[in-house]
Amino acid sequence: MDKLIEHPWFKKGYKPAVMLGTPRSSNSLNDVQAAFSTDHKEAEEPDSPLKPVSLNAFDIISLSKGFDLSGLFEQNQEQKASSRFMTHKPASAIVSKLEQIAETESFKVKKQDGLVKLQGSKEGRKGQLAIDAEIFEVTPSCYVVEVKKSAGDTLEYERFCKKDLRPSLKDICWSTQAEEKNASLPPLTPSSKSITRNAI
Amino acid sequence: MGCALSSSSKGSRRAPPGYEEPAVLAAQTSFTVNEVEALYELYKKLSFSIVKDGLIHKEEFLLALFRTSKGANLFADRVFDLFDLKRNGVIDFGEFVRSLSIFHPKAPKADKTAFAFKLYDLRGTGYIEKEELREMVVALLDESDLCLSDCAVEAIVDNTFGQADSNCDGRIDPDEWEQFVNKYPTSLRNMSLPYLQDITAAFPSFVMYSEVEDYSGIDK
Repeated sequence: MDKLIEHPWFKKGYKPAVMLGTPRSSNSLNDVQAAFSTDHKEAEEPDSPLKPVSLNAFDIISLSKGFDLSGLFEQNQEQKASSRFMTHKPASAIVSKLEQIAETESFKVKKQDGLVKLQGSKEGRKGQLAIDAEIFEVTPSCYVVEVKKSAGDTLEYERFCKKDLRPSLKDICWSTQAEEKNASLPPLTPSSKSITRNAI
Repeated sequence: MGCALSSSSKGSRRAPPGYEEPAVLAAQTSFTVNEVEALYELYKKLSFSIVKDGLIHKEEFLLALFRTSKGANLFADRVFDLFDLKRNGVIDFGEFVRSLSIFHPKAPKADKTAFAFKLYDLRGTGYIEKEELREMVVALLDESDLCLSDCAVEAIVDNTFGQADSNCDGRIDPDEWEQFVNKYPTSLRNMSLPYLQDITAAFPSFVMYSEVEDYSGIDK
Protein backbone atom coordinates (compact mmCIF):
# COMPACT_ATOMS: atom_id res chain seq x y z
CA MET A 1 0.00 0.00 0.00
CA ASP A 2 2.83 2.37 0.83
CA LYS A 3 4.36 1.69 -2.54
CA LEU A 4 1.12 2.79 -4.09
CA ILE A 5 1.08 6.09 -2.26
CA GLU A 6 4.69 6.80 -3.01
CA HIS A 7 4.20 6.08 -6.65
CA PRO A 8 4.61 9.21 -8.75
CA TRP A 9 1.35 8.77 -10.54
CA PHE A 10 -0.64 9.64 -7.46
CA LYS A 11 1.24 12.83 -7.02
CA LYS A 12 1.00 13.79 -10.63
CA GLY A 13 -1.74 16.17 -11.39
CA TYR A 14 -2.73 16.44 -7.77
CA LYS A 15 -0.66 19.46 -6.98
CA PRO A 16 -2.75 21.31 -4.42
CA ALA A 17 -1.05 24.62 -5.12
CA VAL A 18 -4.26 26.27 -6.20
CA MET A 19 -6.44 25.12 -3.35
CA LEU A 20 -4.20 24.85 -0.34
CA GLY A 21 -1.33 27.02 -1.37
CA THR A 22 1.32 24.55 -0.30
CA PRO A 23 3.46 23.64 -3.27
CA ARG A 24 4.84 20.18 -3.09
CA SER A 25 8.51 19.55 -3.59
CA SER A 26 8.95 17.59 -6.74
CA ASN A 27 12.43 16.27 -6.15
CA SER A 28 11.47 12.87 -4.90
CA LEU A 29 8.67 12.80 -7.42
CA ASN A 30 11.09 13.16 -10.30
CA ASP A 31 13.42 10.56 -8.89
CA VAL A 32 10.63 8.08 -8.73
CA GLN A 33 9.46 9.14 -12.18
CA ALA A 34 12.89 8.33 -13.49
CA ALA A 35 12.77 4.90 -11.98
CA PHE A 36 9.27 4.32 -13.25
CA SER A 37 9.89 5.45 -16.78
CA THR A 38 12.81 3.10 -17.28
CA ASP A 39 10.62 0.18 -16.26
CA HIS A 40 7.79 0.94 -18.58
CA LYS A 41 9.40 2.66 -21.50
CA GLU A 42 8.35 1.10 -24.74
CA ALA A 43 9.53 3.54 -27.38
CA GLU A 44 12.99 3.62 -28.82
CA GLU A 45 14.30 7.11 -28.28
CA PRO A 46 18.06 6.81 -28.65
CA ASP A 47 18.58 10.53 -29.10
CA SER A 48 16.22 11.81 -26.51
CA PRO A 49 17.47 12.47 -23.02
CA LEU A 50 13.89 12.39 -21.85
CA LYS A 51 12.06 9.20 -21.12
CA PRO A 52 8.37 9.89 -21.15
CA VAL A 53 6.10 7.78 -19.07
CA SER A 54 4.29 5.02 -20.89
CA LEU A 55 0.54 4.76 -20.61
CA ASN A 56 -1.54 1.64 -20.79
CA ALA A 57 -5.23 1.80 -21.66
CA PHE A 58 -6.31 2.08 -18.03
CA ASP A 59 -3.84 4.92 -17.49
CA ILE A 60 -5.38 6.70 -20.43
CA ILE A 61 -8.87 6.21 -19.09
CA SER A 62 -7.85 7.47 -15.67
CA LEU A 63 -7.00 10.82 -17.25
CA SER A 64 -10.71 11.53 -17.53
CA LYS A 65 -12.10 14.47 -15.62
CA GLY A 66 -15.07 12.30 -14.80
CA PHE A 67 -12.78 10.14 -12.69
CA ASP A 68 -10.95 13.05 -11.17
CA LEU A 69 -12.84 13.56 -7.95
CA SER A 70 -10.44 16.24 -6.85
CA GLY A 71 -12.83 18.46 -8.82
CA LEU A 72 -15.27 18.05 -5.94
CA PHE A 73 -12.83 19.71 -3.59
CA GLU A 74 -11.69 22.62 -5.64
CA GLN A 75 -13.47 25.45 -3.98
CA ASN A 76 -13.14 28.32 -6.34
CA GLN A 77 -13.76 28.64 -10.02
CA GLU A 78 -10.05 28.42 -10.67
CA GLN A 79 -10.08 24.93 -12.04
CA LYS A 80 -6.66 23.50 -12.45
CA ALA A 81 -6.16 24.91 -15.89
CA SER A 82 -4.92 22.23 -18.23
CA SER A 83 -5.05 21.15 -21.80
CA ARG A 84 -3.95 18.14 -23.75
CA PHE A 85 -2.27 17.84 -27.08
CA MET A 86 -1.46 14.85 -29.11
CA THR A 87 1.48 14.43 -31.41
CA HIS A 88 3.30 11.77 -33.29
CA LYS A 89 6.59 13.60 -33.17
CA PRO A 90 9.10 12.16 -30.74
CA ALA A 91 9.33 13.49 -27.22
CA SER A 92 12.55 15.33 -28.03
CA ALA A 93 10.72 17.43 -30.62
CA ILE A 94 8.07 18.32 -28.08
CA VAL A 95 10.68 19.35 -25.57
CA SER A 96 12.52 21.51 -28.10
CA LYS A 97 9.27 23.17 -29.03
CA LEU A 98 8.53 23.93 -25.39
CA GLU A 99 12.03 25.29 -24.92
CA GLN A 100 11.53 27.53 -27.94
CA ILE A 101 8.30 28.86 -26.50
CA ALA A 102 9.99 29.42 -23.17
CA GLU A 103 12.78 31.39 -24.77
CA THR A 104 10.46 33.79 -26.55
CA GLU A 105 8.70 34.59 -23.30
CA SER A 106 11.83 34.53 -21.12
CA PHE A 107 10.63 31.56 -19.15
CA LYS A 108 13.00 29.34 -17.24
CA VAL A 109 12.97 25.71 -18.23
CA LYS A 110 13.61 22.69 -16.09
CA LYS A 111 13.30 19.23 -17.49
CA GLN A 112 13.35 15.82 -15.97
CA ASP A 113 12.27 12.75 -17.83
CA GLY A 114 8.77 13.23 -19.10
CA LEU A 115 8.20 16.49 -17.29
CA VAL A 116 9.09 19.96 -18.51
CA LYS A 117 8.63 22.79 -16.07
CA LEU A 118 8.37 26.34 -17.27
CA GLN A 119 8.55 29.32 -14.99
CA GLY A 120 7.86 32.90 -15.94
CA SER A 121 10.24 35.61 -14.85
CA LYS A 122 7.62 38.33 -14.51
CA GLU A 123 5.63 38.74 -11.32
CA GLY A 124 2.06 38.27 -12.38
CA ARG A 125 -1.16 38.92 -10.48
CA LYS A 126 -0.64 35.86 -8.37
CA GLY A 127 3.12 35.54 -8.51
CA GLN A 128 5.15 33.99 -11.24
CA LEU A 129 3.35 31.85 -13.73
CA ALA A 130 4.58 28.27 -13.65
CA ILE A 131 3.55 25.62 -16.09
CA ASP A 132 4.13 21.90 -16.17
CA ALA A 133 4.15 20.04 -19.43
CA GLU A 134 4.07 16.30 -19.05
CA ILE A 135 4.73 14.01 -21.92
CA PHE A 136 3.14 10.59 -21.98
CA GLU A 137 3.68 7.86 -24.46
CA VAL A 138 0.47 6.33 -25.71
CA THR A 139 2.02 4.25 -28.46
CA PRO A 140 5.59 4.34 -29.82
CA SER A 141 4.44 6.84 -32.42
CA CYS A 142 1.95 8.79 -30.42
CA TYR A 143 2.40 11.03 -27.42
CA VAL A 144 0.09 13.07 -25.29
CA VAL A 145 1.32 16.30 -23.80
CA GLU A 146 -0.59 17.52 -20.80
CA VAL A 147 0.01 21.16 -20.06
CA LYS A 148 -1.02 22.38 -16.64
CA LYS A 149 -0.72 25.54 -14.70
CA SER A 150 1.16 24.81 -11.50
CA ALA A 151 1.34 28.33 -10.07
CA GLY A 152 0.21 31.82 -10.86
CA ASP A 153 -2.90 33.42 -12.25
CA THR A 154 -5.25 31.34 -14.40
CA LEU A 155 -6.04 34.19 -16.78
CA GLU A 156 -2.36 34.72 -17.42
CA TYR A 157 -1.98 31.01 -18.00
CA GLU A 158 -4.84 31.03 -20.48
CA ARG A 159 -3.39 34.00 -22.26
CA PHE A 160 -0.05 32.21 -22.50
CA CYS A 161 -1.73 29.15 -23.95
CA LYS A 162 -3.68 31.11 -26.51
CA LYS A 163 -0.89 33.45 -27.55
CA ASP A 164 2.18 31.29 -27.27
CA LEU A 165 1.60 27.66 -26.55
CA ARG A 166 -1.14 26.65 -28.93
CA PRO A 167 0.18 28.45 -32.02
CA SER A 168 3.66 27.01 -31.48
CA LEU A 169 2.52 23.49 -30.78
CA LYS A 170 0.23 23.56 -33.80
CA ASP A 171 2.97 22.52 -36.19
CA ILE A 172 3.86 19.44 -34.26
CA CYS A 173 0.55 18.43 -32.81
CA TRP A 174 -2.43 16.88 -34.41
CA SER A 175 -5.28 19.24 -34.48
CA THR A 176 -7.92 18.51 -31.97
CA GLN A 177 -11.38 17.87 -33.28
CA ALA A 178 -12.36 21.46 -32.56
CA GLU A 179 -9.33 22.94 -34.22
CA GLU A 180 -9.97 20.90 -37.32
CA LYS A 181 -13.35 22.55 -37.60
CA ASN A 182 -11.94 26.00 -37.05
CA ALA A 183 -9.27 25.54 -39.67
CA SER A 184 -12.11 24.79 -42.10
CA LEU A 185 -10.70 21.42 -42.92
CA PRO A 186 -13.25 18.72 -43.50
CA PRO A 187 -14.63 17.93 -40.06
CA LEU A 188 -13.93 14.54 -38.56
CA THR A 189 -17.01 12.45 -38.24
CA PRO A 190 -17.27 10.34 -35.11
CA SER A 191 -17.24 7.12 -37.09
CA SER A 192 -14.21 7.84 -39.20
CA LYS A 193 -11.43 8.96 -36.99
CA SER A 194 -8.71 7.43 -39.12
CA ILE A 195 -5.85 9.70 -39.80
CA THR A 196 -3.70 8.36 -42.58
CA ARG A 197 -0.47 9.82 -41.31
CA ASN A 198 -0.57 7.69 -38.24
CA ALA A 199 1.22 4.44 -38.76
CA ILE A 200 1.78 1.93 -36.01
CA MET B 1 -38.55 18.42 2.71
CA GLY B 2 -40.19 15.76 4.77
CA CYS B 3 -37.80 12.91 4.21
CA ALA B 4 -37.24 10.40 6.97
CA LEU B 5 -33.87 10.34 8.63
CA SER B 6 -32.03 7.09 8.39
CA SER B 7 -30.29 7.58 11.70
CA SER B 8 -31.51 9.64 14.57
CA SER B 9 -35.21 9.75 15.21
CA LYS B 10 -34.78 13.13 16.77
CA GLY B 11 -36.31 14.62 13.63
CA SER B 12 -34.07 17.66 13.66
CA ARG B 13 -35.34 20.22 11.23
CA ARG B 14 -31.73 20.86 10.15
CA ALA B 15 -30.59 17.38 9.14
CA PRO B 16 -31.19 16.58 5.49
CA PRO B 17 -32.39 13.20 4.25
CA GLY B 18 -29.83 10.43 4.33
CA TYR B 19 -27.84 12.14 7.04
CA GLU B 20 -25.85 9.85 9.27
CA GLU B 21 -23.95 10.72 12.37
CA PRO B 22 -20.27 11.52 11.89
CA ALA B 23 -19.29 9.15 14.67
CA VAL B 24 -21.00 6.25 12.96
CA LEU B 25 -19.50 7.03 9.58
CA ALA B 26 -16.06 7.55 11.07
CA ALA B 27 -16.21 4.13 12.70
CA GLN B 28 -17.03 2.49 9.39
CA THR B 29 -14.67 4.36 7.11
CA SER B 30 -11.11 5.65 6.78
CA PHE B 31 -12.16 9.07 8.08
CA THR B 32 -12.00 10.60 11.52
CA VAL B 33 -15.06 12.27 13.02
CA ASN B 34 -13.63 15.69 12.20
CA GLU B 35 -13.03 14.66 8.63
CA VAL B 36 -16.59 13.42 8.27
CA GLU B 37 -17.82 16.72 9.65
CA ALA B 38 -15.68 18.55 7.12
CA LEU B 39 -17.07 16.34 4.37
CA TYR B 40 -20.50 17.34 5.50
CA GLU B 41 -19.68 20.92 4.70
CA LEU B 42 -18.67 19.89 1.21
CA TYR B 43 -21.70 17.66 0.91
CA LYS B 44 -24.04 20.49 1.82
CA LYS B 45 -22.49 22.68 -0.86
CA LEU B 46 -22.87 19.99 -3.49
CA SER B 47 -26.30 18.76 -2.50
CA PHE B 48 -27.90 22.19 -2.51
CA SER B 49 -26.28 23.46 -5.67
CA ILE B 50 -29.15 22.79 -8.09
CA VAL B 51 -31.89 20.69 -6.52
CA LYS B 52 -32.17 22.10 -3.04
CA ASP B 53 -33.01 18.90 -1.25
CA GLY B 54 -29.82 17.96 0.50
CA LEU B 55 -29.18 15.02 -1.82
CA ILE B 56 -26.63 14.92 -4.60
CA HIS B 57 -28.33 14.50 -7.95
CA LYS B 58 -26.50 13.58 -11.13
CA GLU B 59 -26.53 17.12 -12.46
CA GLU B 60 -25.08 18.44 -9.20
CA PHE B 61 -22.33 15.84 -9.40
CA LEU B 62 -21.55 16.83 -12.98
CA LEU B 63 -21.59 20.48 -12.02
CA ALA B 64 -19.02 19.85 -9.32
CA LEU B 65 -16.71 17.90 -11.60
CA PHE B 66 -17.09 19.78 -14.84
CA ARG B 67 -18.37 23.18 -13.76
CA THR B 68 -21.39 22.51 -15.93
CA SER B 69 -24.37 20.29 -15.35
CA LYS B 70 -24.96 19.84 -19.05
CA GLY B 71 -23.57 17.07 -21.17
CA ALA B 72 -22.84 13.48 -20.34
CA ASN B 73 -19.67 11.76 -19.33
CA LEU B 74 -19.29 8.02 -19.25
CA PHE B 75 -16.84 8.06 -16.41
CA ALA B 76 -18.75 10.46 -14.21
CA ASP B 77 -21.80 8.27 -14.78
CA ARG B 78 -19.91 5.21 -13.61
CA VAL B 79 -18.63 6.94 -10.50
CA PHE B 80 -22.07 8.32 -9.70
CA ASP B 81 -23.66 4.90 -10.09
CA LEU B 82 -21.15 3.29 -7.79
CA PHE B 83 -21.56 6.00 -5.17
CA ASP B 84 -25.33 5.51 -5.34
CA LEU B 85 -25.22 2.34 -3.27
CA LYS B 86 -28.98 2.22 -2.76
CA ARG B 87 -29.52 2.71 -6.49
CA ASN B 88 -32.15 5.35 -5.96
CA GLY B 89 -30.69 7.92 -8.33
CA VAL B 90 -29.22 10.19 -5.69
CA ILE B 91 -26.20 10.17 -3.42
CA ASP B 92 -26.99 10.75 0.23
CA PHE B 93 -24.48 11.74 2.86
CA GLY B 94 -23.82 8.21 4.06
CA GLU B 95 -23.17 6.96 0.54
CA PHE B 96 -21.00 9.99 -0.13
CA VAL B 97 -18.76 9.38 2.84
CA ARG B 98 -18.59 5.62 2.48
CA SER B 99 -17.66 5.82 -1.18
CA LEU B 100 -15.17 8.64 -0.75
CA SER B 101 -13.53 6.63 1.99
CA ILE B 102 -12.24 4.26 -0.63
CA PHE B 103 -10.39 7.17 -2.22
CA HIS B 104 -8.59 8.04 0.99
CA PRO B 105 -4.88 7.47 0.48
CA LYS B 106 -4.86 5.21 3.53
CA ALA B 107 -7.81 3.09 2.43
CA PRO B 108 -7.04 -0.59 1.78
CA LYS B 109 -5.68 -1.29 -1.67
CA ALA B 110 -8.10 -4.20 -2.00
CA ASP B 111 -11.03 -1.78 -1.73
CA LYS B 112 -9.57 0.48 -4.38
CA THR B 113 -8.88 -2.45 -6.66
CA ALA B 114 -12.43 -3.75 -6.28
CA PHE B 115 -13.99 -0.34 -6.80
CA ALA B 116 -11.96 0.31 -9.95
CA PHE B 117 -12.94 -3.08 -11.30
CA LYS B 118 -16.62 -2.31 -10.83
CA LEU B 119 -16.07 1.09 -12.37
CA TYR B 120 -14.69 -0.38 -15.55
CA ASP B 121 -17.12 -3.27 -15.71
CA LEU B 122 -19.53 -1.05 -17.61
CA ARG B 123 -22.26 -3.59 -18.07
CA GLY B 124 -21.85 -5.18 -14.69
CA THR B 125 -21.12 -8.64 -16.03
CA GLY B 126 -18.44 -9.32 -13.44
CA TYR B 127 -15.73 -9.04 -16.10
CA ILE B 128 -14.07 -6.25 -17.99
CA GLU B 129 -14.59 -7.10 -21.61
CA LYS B 130 -12.43 -5.85 -24.43
CA GLU B 131 -15.33 -3.87 -25.92
CA GLU B 132 -15.77 -2.10 -22.60
CA LEU B 133 -12.09 -1.15 -22.49
CA ARG B 134 -12.26 0.06 -26.06
CA GLU B 135 -15.40 2.04 -25.33
CA MET B 136 -13.71 3.76 -22.41
CA VAL B 137 -10.56 4.63 -24.35
CA VAL B 138 -12.66 6.10 -27.15
CA ALA B 139 -14.73 8.02 -24.62
CA LEU B 140 -11.59 9.49 -23.10
CA LEU B 141 -10.29 10.59 -26.47
CA ASP B 142 -13.64 12.18 -27.24
CA GLU B 143 -13.72 13.91 -23.90
CA SER B 144 -10.23 15.25 -24.38
CA ASP B 145 -11.04 16.23 -27.91
CA LEU B 146 -8.12 14.18 -29.16
CA CYS B 147 -7.90 12.29 -32.40
CA LEU B 148 -6.42 8.86 -32.70
CA SER B 149 -6.87 6.45 -35.54
CA ASP B 150 -8.99 3.34 -35.08
CA CYS B 151 -5.97 1.12 -35.44
CA ALA B 152 -4.04 3.11 -32.86
CA VAL B 153 -6.91 2.67 -30.42
CA GLU B 154 -6.99 -1.03 -31.25
CA ALA B 155 -3.24 -1.32 -30.64
CA ILE B 156 -3.55 0.32 -27.24
CA VAL B 157 -6.49 -1.84 -26.21
CA ASP B 158 -4.88 -5.04 -27.51
CA ASN B 159 -1.64 -4.25 -25.77
CA THR B 160 -3.21 -3.62 -22.40
CA PHE B 161 -5.62 -6.51 -22.73
CA GLY B 162 -2.75 -8.78 -23.59
CA GLN B 163 -1.04 -7.72 -20.39
CA ALA B 164 -4.12 -8.19 -18.25
CA ASP B 165 -6.02 -11.12 -19.70
CA SER B 166 -3.63 -13.84 -18.67
CA ASN B 167 -5.93 -16.77 -19.40
CA CYS B 168 -6.76 -15.28 -22.81
CA ASP B 169 -10.49 -15.71 -22.54
CA GLY B 170 -11.20 -12.27 -23.95
CA ARG B 171 -12.12 -10.71 -20.65
CA ILE B 172 -10.46 -9.57 -17.46
CA ASP B 173 -11.71 -11.22 -14.30
CA PRO B 174 -11.20 -9.82 -10.78
CA ASP B 175 -8.13 -12.00 -10.14
CA GLU B 176 -6.47 -10.98 -13.38
CA TRP B 177 -7.30 -7.37 -12.55
CA GLU B 178 -5.66 -7.70 -9.17
CA GLN B 179 -2.51 -9.14 -10.71
CA PHE B 180 -2.48 -6.43 -13.37
CA VAL B 181 -2.84 -3.68 -10.80
CA ASN B 182 -0.03 -5.14 -8.71
CA LYS B 183 2.21 -5.07 -11.75
CA TYR B 184 1.09 -1.64 -12.95
CA PRO B 185 0.07 0.38 -9.90
CA THR B 186 -0.51 3.48 -12.03
CA SER B 187 -3.74 1.89 -13.16
CA LEU B 188 -5.20 2.87 -9.80
CA ARG B 189 -3.96 6.42 -9.89
CA ASN B 190 -7.46 7.87 -9.88
CA MET B 191 -8.43 5.82 -6.83
CA SER B 192 -6.59 8.00 -4.32
CA LEU B 193 -7.28 11.60 -3.53
CA PRO B 194 -4.52 13.29 -1.55
CA TYR B 195 -7.02 16.10 -0.90
CA LEU B 196 -8.81 13.83 1.51
CA GLN B 197 -5.92 14.04 3.92
CA ASP B 198 -6.28 17.81 4.15
CA ILE B 199 -10.04 17.96 4.19
CA THR B 200 -10.41 19.47 7.64
CA ALA B 201 -8.28 22.44 6.59
CA ALA B 202 -10.19 22.92 3.37
CA PHE B 203 -13.65 22.68 4.90
CA PRO B 204 -13.69 23.93 8.44
CA SER B 205 -16.91 22.82 10.02
CA PHE B 206 -18.19 25.75 11.99
CA VAL B 207 -21.80 24.72 11.83
CA MET B 208 -21.18 21.16 12.89
CA TYR B 209 -20.26 22.07 16.43
CA SER B 210 -23.77 23.13 17.22
CA GLU B 211 -25.15 20.09 15.41
CA VAL B 212 -23.01 17.78 17.50
CA GLU B 213 -24.33 19.31 20.68
CA ASP B 214 -27.87 18.81 19.50
CA TYR B 215 -27.20 15.19 18.91
CA SER B 216 -25.33 14.41 22.08
CA GLY B 217 -27.12 11.88 24.15
CA ILE B 218 -29.17 10.65 21.25
CA ASP B 219 -27.92 7.24 20.32
CA LYS B 220 -28.39 5.38 17.09
